[in-house]
Amino acid sequence: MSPTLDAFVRSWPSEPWLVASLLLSALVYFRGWSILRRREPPRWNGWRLASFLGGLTAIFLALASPLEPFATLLLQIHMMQHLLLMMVAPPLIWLSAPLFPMVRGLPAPIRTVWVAPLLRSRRLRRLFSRLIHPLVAWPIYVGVTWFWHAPRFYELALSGERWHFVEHTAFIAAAMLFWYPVVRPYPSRPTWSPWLLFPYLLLADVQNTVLAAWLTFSSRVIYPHYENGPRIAGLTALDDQSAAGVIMWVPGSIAFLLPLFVVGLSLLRGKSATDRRASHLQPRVHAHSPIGARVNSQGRQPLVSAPHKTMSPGRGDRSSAGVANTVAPVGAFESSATLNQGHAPLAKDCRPFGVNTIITGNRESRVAALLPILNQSPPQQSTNRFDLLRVPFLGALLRWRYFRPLLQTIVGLLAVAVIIDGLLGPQLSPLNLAGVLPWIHWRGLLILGLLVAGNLFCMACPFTLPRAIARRLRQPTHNWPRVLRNKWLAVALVALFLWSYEAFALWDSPWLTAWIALAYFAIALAVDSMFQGAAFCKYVCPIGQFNFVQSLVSPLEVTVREPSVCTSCTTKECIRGSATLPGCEMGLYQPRKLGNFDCTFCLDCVHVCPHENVGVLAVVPSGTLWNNPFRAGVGRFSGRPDIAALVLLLVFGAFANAAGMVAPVLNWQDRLRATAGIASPLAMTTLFYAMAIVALPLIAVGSAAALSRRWGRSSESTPQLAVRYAFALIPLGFAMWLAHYSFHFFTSWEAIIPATQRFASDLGVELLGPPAWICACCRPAADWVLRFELLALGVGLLATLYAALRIAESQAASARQAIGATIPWSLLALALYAGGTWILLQPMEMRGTLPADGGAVVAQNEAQP
Amino acid sequence: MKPLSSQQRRISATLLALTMIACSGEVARADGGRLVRVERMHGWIVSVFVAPDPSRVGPVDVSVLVQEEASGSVISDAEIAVTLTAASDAKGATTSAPASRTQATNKLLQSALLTASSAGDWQGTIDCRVGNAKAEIPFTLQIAAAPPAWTKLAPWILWPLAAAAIFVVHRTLGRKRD
Repeated sequence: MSPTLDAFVRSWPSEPWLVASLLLSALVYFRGWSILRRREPPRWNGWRLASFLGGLTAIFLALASPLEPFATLLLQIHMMQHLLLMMVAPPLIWLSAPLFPMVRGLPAPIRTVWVAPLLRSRRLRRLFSRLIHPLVAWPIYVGVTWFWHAPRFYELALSGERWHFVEHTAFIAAAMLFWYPVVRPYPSRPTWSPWLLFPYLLLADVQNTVLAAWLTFSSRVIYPHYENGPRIAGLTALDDQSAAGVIMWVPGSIAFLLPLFVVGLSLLRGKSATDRRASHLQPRVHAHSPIGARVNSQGRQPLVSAPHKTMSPGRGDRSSAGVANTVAPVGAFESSATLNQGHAPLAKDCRPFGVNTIITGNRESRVAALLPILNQSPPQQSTNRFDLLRVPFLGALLRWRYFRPLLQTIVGLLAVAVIIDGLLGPQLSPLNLAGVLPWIHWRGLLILGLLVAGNLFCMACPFTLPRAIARRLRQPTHNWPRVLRNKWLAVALVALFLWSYEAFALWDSPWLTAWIALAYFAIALAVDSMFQGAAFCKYVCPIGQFNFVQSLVSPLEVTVREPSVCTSCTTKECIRGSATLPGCEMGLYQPRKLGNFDCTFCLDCVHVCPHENVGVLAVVPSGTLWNNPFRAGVGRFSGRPDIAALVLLLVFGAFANAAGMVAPVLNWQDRLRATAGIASPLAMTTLFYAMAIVALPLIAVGSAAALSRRWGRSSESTPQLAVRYAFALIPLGFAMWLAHYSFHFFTSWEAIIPATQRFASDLGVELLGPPAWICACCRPAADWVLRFELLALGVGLLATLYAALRIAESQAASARQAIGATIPWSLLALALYAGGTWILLQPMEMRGTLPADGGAVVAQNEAQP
Repeated sequence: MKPLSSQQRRISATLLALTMIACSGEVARADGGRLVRVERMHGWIVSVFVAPDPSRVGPVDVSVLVQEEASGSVISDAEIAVTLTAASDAKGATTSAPASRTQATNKLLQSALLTASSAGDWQGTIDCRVGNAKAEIPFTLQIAAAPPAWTKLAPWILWPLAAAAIFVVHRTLGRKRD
């Protein structure tokens, strides 16, 4: 193999986003194709799938194979790229009839909420049908081809990646439009004559030949880029240009003339593709659809005179509730359209969208054919939802009664290690388990656990382990005081914790950290020894309150699998408990439980339910925020100002906590302290937190509520609105906590290694070797960490905006009022997002790690007695 | 949503795994970029490419192609080092790195990734050695100031606004329809 060829075959560029997009497209198509194939195997045969995958492969070869790096060195390679993008990929993709499989392959919420309205849009449909008309698609295709082959613009495309990308995008888009009328992918029903394809393809070939001939026979190099570049494989620039012209000429002509031949043959045989499809479908329509029975032989009369019987397109699929009463099978609509082509409109009563749509012709009927797919709502049966308890091995482990105590014991042992090291170990945070384990790892894993599952920390909480043991000896007899049966005490404790974390630099004091852990054990034991139930968890624990609020956006929820089972249940063990097992100590009655608030994921309800009807099921993250039903153990969110206060504290606390670690804010505090003559940093920190988590929420949320009341013409009071909408801000607050804590975790996770080695060494265990202090040193954050943080914050913003809109829609009498009510909360969310983005872009203190010259610090520390 | 069959699950898992593998790769570098110098000496042709174009403060990719002048074939055993010196900097900040094929996407080229620390004119040098023969090829490079940090991250910051705009369009269309 020549060195050039060897280099060529090894020059594979890394294009992760392109590859990911192609694979995702393949996955969506395959899913949709599989579903459709089960219903109609002849139409959705293997060739369709192969064709789609072939199209994607052509794009991959053009943009992510050795062709890409060599395209700037050799014009002929560049031409091959263009050939793949313009003449291979688009027809293959259209041959796969991608519309139905791609739509059906999407998850139901995306399909029904996002795609359906776009496909229903008359403007978009009109625009698309105009663009794919041969008289429009041809000039676009030819114009784009010639434009980008003009030397000036070709050079521009080669001057930088962005213009090259624009060129390729234009090529693909124009080619997709061009090939659509040629392939006429199912379910398209063109109104123009197929004879038009003759001049269409022939003229396309002519212009391609002219362009190719210009390149092939030119006596000078047309594109200076290739003239100035190095000669590869001994080719001169002129030879390379000629070869490029030939590539454009011969395979290009084949690409145009082959379909011309096929179309011609089909027309000469006297049947268009459309006719064949109609004849193929007609018997099936008669057999399955009431519409088919009403089709008259002339096809000139309205085909449907009344809403016809609802037909579910597939097992387990249903038309959306209250929307589509007249959903017909795909074939029924399609056949109606086919037989009715060019004649009388379909009946006005045919309203498959469930809206006042008058279907008037072929294009509408094309979309109508999609309706059974578009309008299928996501299944609401819990039995169809993902259930963590049914995952092999993990589910069995979670259902095992002693799994939680085992987890608690493991985490308890870690807590004991933190306490011992915090009290007796070196008082330098990065060297001590108490300096890294709780503040870097525990917080990071806690928030990531909330992101991917739910309230996992409370499940593994070690603080309630002594309580469980103590209650085996003696049962508490007192009830938690009625006056304290709310979250106000917890609000105060959370605020105290947020303030003291910064005021006393808890993260930098292993000794204080150890005492906090000890105090936690002691208070949990004292409270729960005296009071019945889980009073500490429900009313006191600040960590628990944090988890309860944040787990409202988690993707898993402990809930009933089949509501009807609970209806017939008379014993109610989930709340009352059984002779041997406790019920829910948080007072959450499963059939009336909604969301994760106050749920510790202890799984007592799972163990005690005799019907095995409680699972850990998938839910739409944040999906319970905008509903306001009565929730067991909680009541209605709208009637709980204490919970709203807790939410606001944690939302604004997320931003304050992160802001307290960035240089501009710290400098600003120093300057303010100097200006105001405040000597004590403690006073400054107190002032900062008073402003950030008390004054600012009161002003911002109060203003938003007042404006929301005014613009939304709400009859509710301003405080009532503030309470209701406060819950919409949870996703944004969660995103900020996630960005902040995961930053420390991802950038400093290695810090646990030397701290553990040192701790083990202090205990006389040398098995782990000497501490690798380099792992404790501050390292720059990888690029992806910041992107992950921004992505999280963006998702949080969108969820907050959506939740605010849904709350407004549930309260407002009209759409205009709902929008008016949402605007102030959207502005508040955008302000928080802007603030959060600014914080993330600032250099952040790498707490819990050594500075870059960490070795010297360690040596100094070890030299001290 | 209907549960996936085991075959579908396997295919989905495979595709997801492939996606993850694809996404875990290093970002491609050294596809060539702008040709800044072609030098003929000792019977070789040395072509120097620089990316990105225009080069800015931060990482600069310098790729070198060494060919035999007579045949045009690539000299694969050339040892190449790239040096950049800030001409406009009084201290004369210098950065240097060996070029290798492993860093290059296009395996015809040898690539070195250097960091330009300041804006202005930089003097580059390619030290090329093939066997006992040595050559030094100078080139100049104009380094532009780095854009503000947020501009690089603008898509990551602004995408929620684009998504919100699409949502507004979606709702508006739906409402008109209703």
